[in-house]
Amino acid sequence: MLILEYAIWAFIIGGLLGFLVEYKASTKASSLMAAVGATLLLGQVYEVYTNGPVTGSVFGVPVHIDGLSAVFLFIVGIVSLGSAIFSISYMDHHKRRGKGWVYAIAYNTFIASMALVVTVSNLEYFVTSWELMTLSSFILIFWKEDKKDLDASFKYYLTMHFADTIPLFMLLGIASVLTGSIHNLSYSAIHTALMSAPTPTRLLFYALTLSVFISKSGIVPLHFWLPDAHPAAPSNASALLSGIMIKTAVYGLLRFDWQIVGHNANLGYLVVLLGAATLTIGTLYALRETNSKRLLAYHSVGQMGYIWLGIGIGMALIPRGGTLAAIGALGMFAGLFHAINHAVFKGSLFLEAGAVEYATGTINLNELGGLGIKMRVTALATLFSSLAIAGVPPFNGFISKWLIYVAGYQSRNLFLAFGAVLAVVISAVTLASFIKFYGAQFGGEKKKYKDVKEVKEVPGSMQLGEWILAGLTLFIGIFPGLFVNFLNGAVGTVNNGLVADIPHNLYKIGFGSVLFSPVLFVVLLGILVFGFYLTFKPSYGKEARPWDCGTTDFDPDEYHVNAEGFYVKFEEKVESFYRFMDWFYMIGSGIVHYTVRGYMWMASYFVKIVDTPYTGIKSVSDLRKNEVLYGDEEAFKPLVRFLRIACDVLPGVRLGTFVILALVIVGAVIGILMVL
Amino acid sequence: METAVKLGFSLAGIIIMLLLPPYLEGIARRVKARLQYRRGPPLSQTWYDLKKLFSMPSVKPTKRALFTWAPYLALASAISAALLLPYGSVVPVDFGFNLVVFFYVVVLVSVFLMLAGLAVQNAFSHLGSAREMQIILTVEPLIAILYGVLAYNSGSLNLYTILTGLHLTPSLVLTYMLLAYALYVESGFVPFDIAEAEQEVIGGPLSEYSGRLLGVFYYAIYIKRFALLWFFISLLTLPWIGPIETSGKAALVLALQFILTVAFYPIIAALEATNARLRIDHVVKMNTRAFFAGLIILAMAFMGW
Repeated sequence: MLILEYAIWAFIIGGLLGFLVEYKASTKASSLMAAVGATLLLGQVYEVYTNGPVTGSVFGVPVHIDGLSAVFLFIVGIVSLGSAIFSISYMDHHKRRGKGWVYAIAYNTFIASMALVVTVSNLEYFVTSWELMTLSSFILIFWKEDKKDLDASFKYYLTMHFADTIPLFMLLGIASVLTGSIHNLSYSAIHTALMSAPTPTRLLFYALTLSVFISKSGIVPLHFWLPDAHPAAPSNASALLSGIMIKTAVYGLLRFDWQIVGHNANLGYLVVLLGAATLTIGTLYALRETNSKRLLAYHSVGQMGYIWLGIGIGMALIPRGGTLAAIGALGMFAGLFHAINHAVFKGSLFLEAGAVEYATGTINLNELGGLGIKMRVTALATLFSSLAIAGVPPFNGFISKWLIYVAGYQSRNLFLAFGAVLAVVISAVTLASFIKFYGAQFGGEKKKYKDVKEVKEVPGSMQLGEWILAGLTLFIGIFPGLFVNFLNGAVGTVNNGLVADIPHNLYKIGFGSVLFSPVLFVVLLGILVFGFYLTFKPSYGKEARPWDCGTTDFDPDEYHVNAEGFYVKFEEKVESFYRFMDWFYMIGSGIVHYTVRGYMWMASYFVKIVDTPYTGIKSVSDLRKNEVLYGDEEAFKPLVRFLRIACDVLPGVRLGTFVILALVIVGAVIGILMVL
Repeated sequence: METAVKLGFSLAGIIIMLLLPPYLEGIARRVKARLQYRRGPPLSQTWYDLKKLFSMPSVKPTKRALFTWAPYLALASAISAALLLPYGSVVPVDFGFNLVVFFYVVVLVSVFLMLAGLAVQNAFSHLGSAREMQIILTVEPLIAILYGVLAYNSGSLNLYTILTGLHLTPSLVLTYMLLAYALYVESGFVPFDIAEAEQEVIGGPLSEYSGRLLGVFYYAIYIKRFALLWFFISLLTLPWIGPIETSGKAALVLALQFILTVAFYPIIAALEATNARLRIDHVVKMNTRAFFAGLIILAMAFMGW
């Protein structure tokens, strides 16, 4: 039996524990089980890493865990572990909402389904797990049921419905036609069938899969759902959404569009184009955001662009062969490495945003400030993760971004090099955004938090959850060499054994002659810092309030630059860009709007509003406002009414619900038998 | 070259890097004074200033540990960046002799400067940090493009390859010109000293610093400026000198680097003395234009010009 199966058992138990009556008991117990499951997933990854790919089945579902799956299973495991440990205390924050059991089931199902998405070896089960992932994530996004977030969750679900579910089922159809049977949809069978398929079929396969993966990973034309949906969920679930879920699309891209359909350089150029556009647009939008979770969500869009850029460089160059293929393999390696790194630091950042929300009750960067003194541990974790996402050495984000730059700059191709230039440019924007993110929350000192007892450092288990991920940003950054073989396993799996030629040992990593030694850098920096600190110890004279030009009638809390005003001049300069993109956004939301209208029009034939018969249904909110009766309910209504009357006219015999249900079933069976 | 010679060059590099920067500032002050018909202070005046700052205790405006550590971290980053440059042909501590690493280590100085500014509750220092970031935001794109030209021209991001393998093309000449501009902006000389503008935002991120901590920060900034200049001069001279096999030639090269660095400073000082500080939106505008000029240069490079 695979370890994966034990992990799934843990998630099932975790979900069932949700039925404990008390809110705190159920959320804590189920989060703990999720942490156990995540640890088991990591155990499975370790086993695959040491003993090679495994094939088997989990509850009858065929799975095959090779190098590529292992990388993504690692992402699932590590982010879930941090998030689950964090949740144990964090979910107390949402106690007033109740519904602990909904959270418990959705949270555990979500992790389990993502673990299955990246491991199953059959399209049928891939589609099933994918849909389960979408559904459980929708429940988590919807879970808070705040009025302002309802639209976000519907937007998410509708986008997924049209861009994911429909293409996936069409894909099932095409695949079953190609292989000749709906029961023969293993990846290898589809691969063999596609090899001899005509070009239009392959193009259709590309189009359908790309629609699925572009929309799921929030790549530019279909990214509009992401910045609304991710902040709507509770922070521990946001960490999973941004840390893991959008990466499953990268897994799909490599598995389906690269391994199964076969290598194609043109696809690479498309992926580079999408990646470069996404990283620019996502990050520039993030820069002007003042809601901390929305800011992080936009950065998820931007960082996905980096991952696609790296993988795209790989796809564009690997088919060329020779030295270019080596650079391509480097690009793909770097893209995958960035996927791991992004999962780690973005998961961590969402947890820290959640910790701040837990302590202060707000995620508005304009209101926050001065938490650095009260929440030292969280502040340091945020600083680490912020520097990591900004690509500052020696944190993990630097290593993977740097390898992407090396691949792009040395590709000797103007298009790819320009992609790398954009990546460097946007790296500066990311730095700006996270200087703001850190400074606005933890910088300065604010009376309104300083003198309040309730605002204090979060409980230990939350700190542990943050630090599992924040500590990894530094660890991976200093010892990236430990991950080279692991990642090359994935690159080799999808490229018939071609791996990135990355000279590395414990101290060095690089490509060709371009090397970097994080260990040496850290040691040098450490010696210099402590050397100077000890030689020229800081000596403080008197203490004084920050200088405020001698004003007397002044609220010191307001004596700062708030998050909104940080980069005004720069934002003004790129305003035309924002206006242009807003126009695109309008088109996108217009499409969603009219799709919904069409949908509602169809639905209105199946739905009736109960109390006021002639009210039409025009929008989703009409469904929420009025009590409605669905078509199937209406069909069964006579039977239900009859049973109710029967109950009423037989006052002596009080039938229980179960008896009524049994009667209904017996009646239905008799009815069917009579028809037959 | 044998180890002893390498060690000697490294030592020379370290001495230059630690001692020269304040003297360069002294030269600049002298030149500015002469341009304004003043006598000007002695060359080691900046050293005297630093010595005085180091001997004074600091005023404490906050309890944040970051406030205390940031100057030391900035100084360590500046020195690390300077240690990554070639002195003669020797790199004192090679932890990654390539463009991107050097560039990011230099940016680290600004990162710590900004974090220090944000650690205190002071609108002026916040403003200064935001300005510093906006300058980086607009100058980094330009540098990214110019690095693209250099990498394409020589075939690698590795500095050894770049310093030996550059070809003289029109695009390279233009790259040198724009790179000089970009590094000048990044160094924060007048008219680009917007972040620390004394008269406007009373020192920006540095406004709450005093005494020894301020001295450490100033020293870090001088070394960063020196590193950027030394980098530019190495890029300007080393590719055309040919392979450096003997230690005699290496010594000559080191002397050339030294002389050019000292010779460039009066030019910088003259530019500083004859310009008034720009507004932040002016700088953003100028840098954006330079970025688009850079794009044209990149396209030229890829066409082989």
